[in-house]
Amino acid sequence: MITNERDLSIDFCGVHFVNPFLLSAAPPTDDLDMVRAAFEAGWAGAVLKTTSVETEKVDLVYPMMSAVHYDGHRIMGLGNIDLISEHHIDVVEKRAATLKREYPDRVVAVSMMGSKKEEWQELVRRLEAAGVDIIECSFSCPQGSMGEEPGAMLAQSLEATERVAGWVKQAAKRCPVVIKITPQVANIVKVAQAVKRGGADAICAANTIPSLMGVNVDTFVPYPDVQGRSTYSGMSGPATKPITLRTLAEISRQVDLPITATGGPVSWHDAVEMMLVGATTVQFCTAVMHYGVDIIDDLRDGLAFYLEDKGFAKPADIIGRALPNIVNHGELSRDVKVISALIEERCVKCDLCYIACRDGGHQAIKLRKTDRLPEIDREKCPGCRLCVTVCPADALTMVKK
Amino acid sequence: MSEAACARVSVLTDTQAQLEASRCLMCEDSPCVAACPARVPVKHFIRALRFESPRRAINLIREQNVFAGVCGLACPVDRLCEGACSSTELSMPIQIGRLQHYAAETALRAGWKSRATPRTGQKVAIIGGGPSGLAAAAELARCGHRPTVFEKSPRPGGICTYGVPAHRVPQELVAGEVEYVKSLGVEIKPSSPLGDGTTLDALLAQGYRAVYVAAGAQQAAAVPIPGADLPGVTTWKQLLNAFSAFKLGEGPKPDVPQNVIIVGGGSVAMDVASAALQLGAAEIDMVCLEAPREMPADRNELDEVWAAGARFHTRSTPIEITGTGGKVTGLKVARIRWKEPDKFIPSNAVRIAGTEYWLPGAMVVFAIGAKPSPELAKLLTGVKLDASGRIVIDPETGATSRPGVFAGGDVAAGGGMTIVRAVAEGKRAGQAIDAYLRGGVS
Repeated sequence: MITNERDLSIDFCGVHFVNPFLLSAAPPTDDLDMVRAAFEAGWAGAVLKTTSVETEKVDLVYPMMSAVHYDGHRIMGLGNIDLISEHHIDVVEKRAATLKREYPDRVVAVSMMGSKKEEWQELVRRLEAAGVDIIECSFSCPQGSMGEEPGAMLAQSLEATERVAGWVKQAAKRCPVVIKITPQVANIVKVAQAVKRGGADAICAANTIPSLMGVNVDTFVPYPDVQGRSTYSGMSGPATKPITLRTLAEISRQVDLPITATGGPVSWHDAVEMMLVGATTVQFCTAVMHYGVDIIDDLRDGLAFYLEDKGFAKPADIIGRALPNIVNHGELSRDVKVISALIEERCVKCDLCYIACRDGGHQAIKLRKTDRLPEIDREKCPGCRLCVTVCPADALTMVKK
Repeated sequence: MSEAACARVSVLTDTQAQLEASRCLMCEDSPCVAACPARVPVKHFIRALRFESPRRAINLIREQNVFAGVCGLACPVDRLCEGACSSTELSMPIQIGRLQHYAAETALRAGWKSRATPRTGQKVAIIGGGPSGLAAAAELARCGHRPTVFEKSPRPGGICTYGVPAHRVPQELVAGEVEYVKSLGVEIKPSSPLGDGTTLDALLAQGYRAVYVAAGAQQAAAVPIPGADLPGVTTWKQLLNAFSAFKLGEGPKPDVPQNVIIVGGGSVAMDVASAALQLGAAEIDMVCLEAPREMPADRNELDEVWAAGARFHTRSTPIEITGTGGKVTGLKVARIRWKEPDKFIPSNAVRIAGTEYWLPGAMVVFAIGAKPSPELAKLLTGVKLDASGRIVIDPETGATSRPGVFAGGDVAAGGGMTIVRAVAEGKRAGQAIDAYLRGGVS
């Protein structure tokens, strides 16, 4: 149930979304009924999991998932050694057509991947014929792309990115083409520029991050353990959000292409942050796999109340609002000195600020003998803010010196 | 009404609420919801808190329970939502009551307004401005009707205002939640007792298309033992009413002697003990039929009263109130055993011969429940009452024997009422009245 009926619609590459939230190309979109359930729940769209031509062999292994937990909380990052969908274009084109028929007001996008020009273009033609709204091209499957450089990600080659994007765009007569890239490159801006040179309409930033999820120290086998061996996973989930934000900001500041964000959002707050650094729509996966499709209610209400409270008329009004506030390090202000200050009534006397300042800061915090409250030495404190970040009780804040 | 309210009125900080919400497992089955009489969507409101949308959280709660904050503090959560919590198996239950209280206080502080519903509907009279009456009124207003609440006391809130002591549920919180109900489009007429001009027939003649009777249980029970008519013998209702009125500045400070004897083992008895202590009593003796683990009182409340120094005379029954010169001097009690196991009702208690003893005290307070006022029958023509004077209702809808007349809360309950149950019955009746009005049946 949602409690705020505000209109949250937004346009992306000329396609109308009833809200900025959609499911990314991932396990939650690899089944017709799961996508139906998501649309029923209120998601504006879904990118069906990456499909391929019928001759492509998709050889999955199980188990495929593992996670990095942190401090008692599950799934800071989710690792997956999944491949593209086992469902080929013959199945997916039918699903797309069915979904469009049943949910004409929802956006049906399909992710696809080919191994040569003919395949990329055939996939485009068949998806357009099936009535999809958007074509997304996976240039960034963490297990590697097919074709010219098998095992390497297409989006790691500027030349290949531009060329293949061009093939797809050449074949697309009706649908906007979105290229999904990887954050695992030396210069994300150059990749985005290659996408633009190739003629694509938008960027999906960004795919999972190639990772080794952990190692079992008893068996020496990393996770996930597939009969005593393992491999690198693509990591998604909340741990990746800051990387996504940086990716989005860099592209937005340098390249004039609309962006659909993916990589780590869980809450409306995360989504708003992504929009503030340039995303138009936000794709979700791990949060849905963890908490269920009905988190769309939380997202819709949260965004609606945010817009209402801030006085924005529509979601599009917040896109890129944080970008002017991102500058190079050299341009940051050196003029105003700040130091940390204690809000006494909140302090629970855990001493974490003291330890952090002593061993990771500037020895500017003492513990008062009488009552163990931290005392900040105004002269020694340079204002690094480490103490504020470790305080579990929000009892420290930064003030002007 | 037995309300388990322990002294936990401090509001969680944002950080504490985040920490607690992040412990919630958010189970699909949500046994906490099934255990809530008002069916508050616990999982979803906690998830909304966790994912930083407190406005969504309070909206979800208020949709089911307009007394979100009051119930967060006053609900016997260990027997309801928290008692069912899946996290118990891992460590301890999520503090659902405190999170709900936090959401309510956050909303009141921020002044978040309700969305106005267009007033197109019909006039409905609500008799009684307690939790059940106000919940019914809120639901009717949301359905577009025009409810008017007739409250006998100067302030609305019923048991929340004049029963549960302010140290358990602050009056500002009660008042804030009553204001929220008003903001939905509910008219409240205070100091409007049922009487000559406001009988059921008169209200219906004035154009009210339906009536919800939530007049509560105004006559507190006492054990009919020798000496029960002495001055100095009183009931929980009188003492807590007077205590609340004093706290609200509506009445004088009630006189309480040094030694007070309280009969009863529920949360109300604990409230009476707390009130007596605050009013200056030094010695408290609690007398009840149940053994400690059989007592219905909330554990935290019981612990507080015990820790404050009250003596507990458990598995005991009062047999005579002693007095000299028209003044109470004490209470004779005797030990009991249960005839049948696990049946903790007076008729199942057997006195053990030769165990009588005497407790000194200048005041005896009965805190053993209440039933509706006997005058109600005259004012509710055509409405069937049971032998104890309670209104007979359809448990699903609250419908009485008279078409268009509904009832709920203490006025219709056989016992075991709580604020949250009263709210739930009020909401259900509000929906049933809406259906009745839309059906156009009279």
